[in-house]
Amino acid sequence: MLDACVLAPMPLCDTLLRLAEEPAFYIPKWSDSILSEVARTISKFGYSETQVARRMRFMRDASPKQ
Amino acid sequence: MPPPAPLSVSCWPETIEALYGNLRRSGPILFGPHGERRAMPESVGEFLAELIAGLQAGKSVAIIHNEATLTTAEAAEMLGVSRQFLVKTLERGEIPFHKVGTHRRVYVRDLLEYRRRRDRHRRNALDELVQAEIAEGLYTIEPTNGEHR
Repeated sequence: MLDACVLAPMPLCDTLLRLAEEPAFYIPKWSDSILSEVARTISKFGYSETQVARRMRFMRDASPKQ
Repeated sequence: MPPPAPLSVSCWPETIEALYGNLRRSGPILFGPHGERRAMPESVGEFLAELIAGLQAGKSVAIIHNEATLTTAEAAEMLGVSRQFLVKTLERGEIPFHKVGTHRRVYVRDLLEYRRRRDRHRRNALDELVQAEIAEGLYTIEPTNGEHR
């Protein structure tokens, strides 16, 4: 389970998702509420609304489908 | 008696090259418990090496024929998704399937093809996002407070 604190900073998020690419080192999981927290956190980092929306679009697309 | 002529050093690189060439040409060989040798194609050797590495790392390894069929539960597990999500994916026509009675079945080769496509798509999407965030100076942004370190 990846929490918001590792998904918000892009270098960490990037690295963790690359490790989950085939051949996968692990299978990442996160929930909708974690995604909302990522959105809040990165807007505090200074992301604009469009930039937050773009990140959310990507994360939803890559989301583990439960 | 004249001293023995020194070995001609200049021929060494070629000799070594030739030796390595022969080694490479010989390809992988399987040794049996009674000393029997069985040569095998390079691809089979690589496959076995990967298989052994997987087993040594404590992974479980499944060898599945391309023509084999999977139930929806098995296919969902291979993709790391829920069965409901897999069934929706089938009904959207993203993976070919057929029915045996009332049960849906998926060919392994179709499932693997879908997984390759999905992974390629995700990789490209991540590449694009990273490029955009780097260009906009977001990638290396420092959190403004200590809350999320």
